[in-house]
Amino acid sequence: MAHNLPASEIKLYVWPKLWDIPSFDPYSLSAILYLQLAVPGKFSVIECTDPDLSPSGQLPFLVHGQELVASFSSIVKYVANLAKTEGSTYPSGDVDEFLSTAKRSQRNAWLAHVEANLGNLVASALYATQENWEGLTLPGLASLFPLPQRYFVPQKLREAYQPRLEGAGLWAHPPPDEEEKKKTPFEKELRKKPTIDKRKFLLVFQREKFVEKAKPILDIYSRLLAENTFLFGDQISSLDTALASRIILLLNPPYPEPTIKDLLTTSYPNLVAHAQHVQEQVLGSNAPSIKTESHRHSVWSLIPSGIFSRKSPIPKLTLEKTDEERHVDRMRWGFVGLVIGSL
Amino acid sequence: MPVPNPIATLFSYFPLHTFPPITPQAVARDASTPTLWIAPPLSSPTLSVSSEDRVLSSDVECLKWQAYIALRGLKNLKVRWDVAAEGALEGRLPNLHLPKADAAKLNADLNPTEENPKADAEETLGLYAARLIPSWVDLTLGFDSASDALEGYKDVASRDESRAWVALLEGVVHAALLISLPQQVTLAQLLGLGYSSSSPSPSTATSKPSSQTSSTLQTVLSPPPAPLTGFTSLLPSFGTRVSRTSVISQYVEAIASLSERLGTDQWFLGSSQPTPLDALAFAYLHCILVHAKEPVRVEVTKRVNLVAWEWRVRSTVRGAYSL
Repeated sequence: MAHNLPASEIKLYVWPKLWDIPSFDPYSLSAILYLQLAVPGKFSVIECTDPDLSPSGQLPFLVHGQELVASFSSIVKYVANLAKTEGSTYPSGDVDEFLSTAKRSQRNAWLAHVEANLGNLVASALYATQENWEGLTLPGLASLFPLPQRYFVPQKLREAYQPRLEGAGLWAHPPPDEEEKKKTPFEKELRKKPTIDKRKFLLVFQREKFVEKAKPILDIYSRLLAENTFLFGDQISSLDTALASRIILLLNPPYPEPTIKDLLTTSYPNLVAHAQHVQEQVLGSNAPSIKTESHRHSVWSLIPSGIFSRKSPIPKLTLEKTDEERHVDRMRWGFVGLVIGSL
Repeated sequence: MPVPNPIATLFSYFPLHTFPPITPQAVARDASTPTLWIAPPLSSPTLSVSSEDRVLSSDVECLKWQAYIALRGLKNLKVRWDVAAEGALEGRLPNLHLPKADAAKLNADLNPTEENPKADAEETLGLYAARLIPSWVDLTLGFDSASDALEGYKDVASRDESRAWVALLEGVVHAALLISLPQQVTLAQLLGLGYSSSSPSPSTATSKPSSQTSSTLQTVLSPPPAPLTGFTSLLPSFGTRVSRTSVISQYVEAIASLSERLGTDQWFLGSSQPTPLDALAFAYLHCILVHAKEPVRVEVTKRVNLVAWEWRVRSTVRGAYSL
């Protein structure tokens, strides 16, 4: 059987670019940074707005030949394995090769901490704070999606984060609107007394609460980084990409409500410097450029993926049929024709 | 105007009886020993759970607090599990029920500025939510935790690292435990529409903010799982779409890291005394070993040091409680 396998290039499907950052989603951004370190020039980034294509329902995911890998830590593991199995093609696949087993186990724990806690801060800055949501995130996201989806998908993305952020105490509930209702139509409107603006107080209180929650987390990373260039000494690791991607997402976007951004720039200069260093090294002018394409929108994405089987991102293998198979096919069609003809 | 006579005679055929009020029975509200209200331990007779283990709860949160109290050296506590979660303070178990004398001392400690204790001290129920358990333990042992900035760990780096391990345990390990627990059979389950947890699903955006959150997969997994109907489809969000293989593979790596970090130490992170991280790790390991189904359970049984550590801590924790 002759196989015509397509040349397998690593394809990374991520959320698209916004605000001059390669991806607005921290997981996608850390995956891009990691691949740029591990397999520079040998992968392409596909900007996709349809997370339902992925096996786990979330972006980013990686396609390599027939392999589909979702979630950042699985992608890191897969690419590290590539360095072992196809070492000639992907020599630097395992960025964390220099770490000992003990350090690797610590790296896993820290990665969980970064994704959970710092990820909550990023999500609260993007989705939870009402000003940021209405002023920055919603218009940005809506510009990415095609027509019917731009009206409901951003809200769905925001709702997905809500239980998590509420549990962490980082969800900003909008202050109740104060309506002055007249009890009867005959009541005259009272002259408005200069009342204290309750909404402003609530907003300030929420901001203070966020800062209180953010400080211990950022303190921990500040202590972990200390005076080193990277978290594990002088060499960059996957944990650095995860941390830097989230700090970049807290710094770079033009937030209308910049509480956490200001906190970072004033009190945590080493974290800011670390993020800039990683960005410089990975995406700077010396680094090879990343091939980017965008995924075609499909109307079929409006239908939930479980009901009808949609096009999978994996290309189907085209196998040339042998003579025997062609003979069997001809006989099969002949039999079917005979059955229908005899009815 | 008085009632007219014919109507009065009609009403006299339907006299009104008034019965005396029923006073509630004097229920013994005082506990004689400190009691912990927990979620029930697994009561299935088919499982080979020895009778001593029946004081250990099947819920991770309750077991974590049980382990915390026992590992700090307290003994002779009782447990009860006939109270449902909705009946507990803040809607969550565990709760701590103290005898009057201890309750008075704890109240005095928590509210030092109150000079006149409430006159109805007789009526107050000495019931406290889980977050007040450390204060009570400190008071009983005469030890002030707030003065120890390192919280029992070796150094500041270990204390920071403990946060990372807590995040790992409460993230991937908790998710793997949730998807591998024996599920209550519901119609949604049979249709393959997603995993349910024993507690109700989290409130929607329109209801009031609730301080208690049930730990469903939506709060535990990062990134939050996609809805079953998909993000881009026209149907409203419903259910959670969880990739079992992805969660299990991350969980395998997490357990490998946990086992590696424990090594041959007596307590996690090389501490000389048990710490809250040990209580949390014990809670998860015990629930996985006793309650979880095969692919999740077998990962822990492969690591001999984790199994041995859990066994050793189990005997300490068990010894502190009685029925």
